[in-house]
Amino acid sequence: MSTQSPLESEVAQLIVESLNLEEVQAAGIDPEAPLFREGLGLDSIDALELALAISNKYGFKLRSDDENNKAVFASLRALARHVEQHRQN
Amino acid sequence: MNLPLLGKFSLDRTLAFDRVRSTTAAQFLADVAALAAQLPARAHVLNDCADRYHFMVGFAAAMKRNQVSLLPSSRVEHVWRQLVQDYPDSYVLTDQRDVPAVAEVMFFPPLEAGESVDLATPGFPEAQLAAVAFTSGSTGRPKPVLKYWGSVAREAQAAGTRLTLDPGRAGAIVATVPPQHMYGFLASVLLPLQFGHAVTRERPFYPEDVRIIAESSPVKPALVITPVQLRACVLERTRLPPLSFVLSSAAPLPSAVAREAETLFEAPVLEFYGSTETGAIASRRHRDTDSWRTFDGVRVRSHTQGFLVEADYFREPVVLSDVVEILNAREFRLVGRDSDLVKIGGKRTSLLYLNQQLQELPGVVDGAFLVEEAKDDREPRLTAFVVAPGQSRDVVLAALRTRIDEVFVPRRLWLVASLPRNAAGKLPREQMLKLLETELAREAASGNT
Repeated sequence: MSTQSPLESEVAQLIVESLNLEEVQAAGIDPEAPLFREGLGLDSIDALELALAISNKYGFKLRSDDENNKAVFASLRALARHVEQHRQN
Repeated sequence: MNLPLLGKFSLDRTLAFDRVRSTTAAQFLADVAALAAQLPARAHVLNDCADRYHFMVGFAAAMKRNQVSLLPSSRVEHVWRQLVQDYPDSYVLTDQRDVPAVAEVMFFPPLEAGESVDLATPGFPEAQLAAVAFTSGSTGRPKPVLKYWGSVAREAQAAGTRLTLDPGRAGAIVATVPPQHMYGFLASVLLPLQFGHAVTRERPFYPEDVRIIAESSPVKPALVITPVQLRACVLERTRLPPLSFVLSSAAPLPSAVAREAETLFEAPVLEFYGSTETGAIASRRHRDTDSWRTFDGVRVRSHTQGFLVEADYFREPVVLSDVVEILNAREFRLVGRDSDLVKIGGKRTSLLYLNQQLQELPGVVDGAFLVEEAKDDREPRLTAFVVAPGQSRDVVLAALRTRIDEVFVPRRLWLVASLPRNAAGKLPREQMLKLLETELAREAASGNT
């Protein structure tokens, strides 16, 4: 597993807290593993919850027609990159 | 008796729109005629179209050819495979690339009107079988629910009347729900057809999608949404354009969400109550009451088997899966649910069905699901325990994913030596909760993630 960058750790923490993943340790999330289905096993309800947490923390809103929404949630690394590019705060 | 496909409104009326185009009722009829001429000669069509307009054209064209639309509640390959076994004379009509390869596939074609376009609105006999919906059965296989044209068309009229829709007045509907789900089928396919409302082709998912699409609506829209998504819009304080009303269904709307949505969006927030078997049968406005008022022509009464719903447009009474308290001839209150039912994200199944799917996996000796009730108006989530010597958690989960919808895939799957079955072979919930506690404690002690 490759190591998490500081922003990746922060986003990992946000995922664990906003989705109540008590059994997952944020530091243990592989930045390159898929977040949905295999990997963390998140689903569409989680996606809504996570979008809300991202909007509150980083001040931008996720959209389905973002270049490729699937790619945004492909991994912790991809999500952190998207946050980096779009964050307002 | 025949009932027309479209209500009484001008064929210039817009029936569907997205951000770049809108389609009139006249164009719709031409497209229906063109597609009907191209459909293969089969008895059943699995309508998998994601674009709501494609779905509508596909549904109507199938009706014209006397073909029955199959509406499975998920796109899971295992479910489709069973469906095709049960309905061998079927094909898939789709506009999606990632279609499970279980039967002949027809991709929604580009449509061009023929030489002489017949713009007469078709009518269909009330007794024509229009669609088959599916619900969790007691046998471990989805149970088919037959939807006749007379029932669905008249259900739409009753529902639209309750919403004070008027075919003489243009309106629009922004819908987040899929047309294949009974709630989406009613509110985003049949209501537009019967009342001449323009419906969104796309399915907005995030609150921001809802906002953008609502802003592209040709006239002030109604919002047809699920409780999970409405809650997200409320928490995010999405700045939606003026709405005529908000309609929620598929799962009970928490009263706090309903109240806040009324304030935030300055529109009435209404809920429909129903099920796959009954269709929508009653409504309420949370601001005013927690009891449900039946649609015109619908009655609920107690019966030896539980509660029966009767409607002028039902072929036979339907037994409710919920327990209700009857207040008077028109109103009832929900008291409880059959404890075997599992509802997450507007999708319904039963513990029995889920357990069977788990137990049928290769290498699995025993297995059971547990519903963990959620807090803060969130959805309940599932945990599962499995006895599968020599198997890994990931292998079991991957196998399970091919059989059940993603919302029912357990958040946590525990490999255990045995399940706490009692002498009767049953798994009391208290015992399952204890098992969960034990496993959580064991995990914490071992420091694993």
